[in-house]
Amino acid sequence: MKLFAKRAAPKAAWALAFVIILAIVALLPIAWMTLSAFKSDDEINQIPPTFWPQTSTLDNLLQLFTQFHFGILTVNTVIVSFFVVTLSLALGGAAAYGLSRYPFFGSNLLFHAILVTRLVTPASFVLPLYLMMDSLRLTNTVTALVIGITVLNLPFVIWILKPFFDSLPREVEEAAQLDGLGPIGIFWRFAITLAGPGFKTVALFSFITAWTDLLIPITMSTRPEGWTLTAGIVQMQTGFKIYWGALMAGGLYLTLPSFIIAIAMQKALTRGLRTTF
Amino acid sequence: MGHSRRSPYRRRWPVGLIFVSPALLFIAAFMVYPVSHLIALSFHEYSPLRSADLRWVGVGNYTQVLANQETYRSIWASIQFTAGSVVIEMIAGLAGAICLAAVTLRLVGRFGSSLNRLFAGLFILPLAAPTVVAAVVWKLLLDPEIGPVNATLSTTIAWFTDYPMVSVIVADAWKTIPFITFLLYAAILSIEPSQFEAAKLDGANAWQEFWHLTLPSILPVVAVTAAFRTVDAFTKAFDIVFATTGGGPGDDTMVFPLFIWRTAFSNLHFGEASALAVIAIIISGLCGAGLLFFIRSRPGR
Repeated sequence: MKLFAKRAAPKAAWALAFVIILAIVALLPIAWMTLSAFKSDDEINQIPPTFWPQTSTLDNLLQLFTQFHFGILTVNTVIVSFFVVTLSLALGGAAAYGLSRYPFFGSNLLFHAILVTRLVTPASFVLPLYLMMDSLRLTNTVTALVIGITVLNLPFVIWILKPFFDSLPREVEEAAQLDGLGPIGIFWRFAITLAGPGFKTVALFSFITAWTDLLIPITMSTRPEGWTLTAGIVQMQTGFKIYWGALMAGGLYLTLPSFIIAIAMQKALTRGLRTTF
Repeated sequence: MGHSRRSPYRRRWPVGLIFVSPALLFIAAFMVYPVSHLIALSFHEYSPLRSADLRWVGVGNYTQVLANQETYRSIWASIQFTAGSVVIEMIAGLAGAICLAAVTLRLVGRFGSSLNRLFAGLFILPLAAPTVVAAVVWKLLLDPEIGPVNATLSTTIAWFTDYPMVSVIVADAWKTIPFITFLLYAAILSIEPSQFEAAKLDGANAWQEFWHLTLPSILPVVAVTAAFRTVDAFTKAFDIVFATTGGGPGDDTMVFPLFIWRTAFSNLHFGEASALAVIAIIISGLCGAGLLFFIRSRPGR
């Protein structure tokens, strides 16, 4: 088995050792969480701590659903993520396309004005949003979460997608126009397909944003009906006793879907990181 | 832009507005309107527990929060958090990226390339890990009694109580370092391989190669990443503190965003919270303007 070209081998071996140590440091906490999720509370509270579960149990996972409302929280989180992604793509995609293909007087200024809203610090923004949702009687609903997360996410979406449309060749769209297709038809039938990779990237980032957001749900809701999983996990450690087993199981439960999706869409993620910075 | 020939896009300007207007209306309704309400609110006294009425107080909220020691303590906490996390994350991220590149650029063979993919996959995971999870995991790892860190070191340190800011920074760094590593690694990969070969022909050793070739080439990316992280850490750090210390003990880790949120939703002083929020937006705007100036003033970007 050959790993390195011969001449570079000794130096690269040292670097490899360092990278492996880094990777282990990066992964150990995840491993600890995963193993703890299957330990009994008695075992977690044991001193000194054990690494491998002595007796593995699914009690923690069950407790999430029986005691910590994970059923409804899961449904909420899926709904919120779905609508945040859909709304972000629909509103942000159309806006980015319009700004890119049909510039009008002041459109460049408008593009920058939209970007400036990214500077509104979320912790500042949630107070007036909460008052607004309260007067619309939308607190403790997922609607408020979808609105709040989407509006904070939209500038990012437009920021990524507008340059993406700029870089796409226009030949196909111009040909479609000569065939008599209107602008909306062109957008719907051709532009969306051409911009597929960009949409994928934005969809992935919007999903991660919605799936992991904490500020909006804990601000908009005081009850599980209006919480997502992140808010549920935070609630689990208030009070006198910390249910470590359930907390770790909940962490694992929240992390797994976004890990799986991030790995499955690794290409889109990498592309997004390179264009963002 | 080359619109010299009759472009079908140019003359129909209202079409652009049709595409933009849904997003524009959404942002106007749920961002511009609330923020203008926030500004108006910052000139009123409004504490829903005491009374449902708004009372005009002029700049009273501003003078009050600017005279309050807690405001400055929270800004100081934010500065500590920002300085600590950005410095640690950039140094460790840079070291990680250089070693990662040193390994993957020299890997050969089938096993080598699958190892390459494995590393790339490994280092994107923390980006997808929710900050809340990083927080609760580190709370367990650093627990004074049942935490494995104390067990390993044979100590009984109450990390989040005795060294709260350090502990919060450790949790944040754990989540962020791989992300920085990944960004800088991508920057190193974009250096022309021929340049490395030229350096080798000139007889450069590893240190000279790093100092004269790698670092200057990726410096723009390092600078921009550090600048973005600084603004983010100062204006947006919330989850990691909220889910670990909640701002305590006392208000040792009460960073500015959390302080605003607590003023609003724990103390229900909406007027003062609005004044703080407006101040935060102004600070963030200044940081953003500085960032923009910084990026624009760099040649080659």
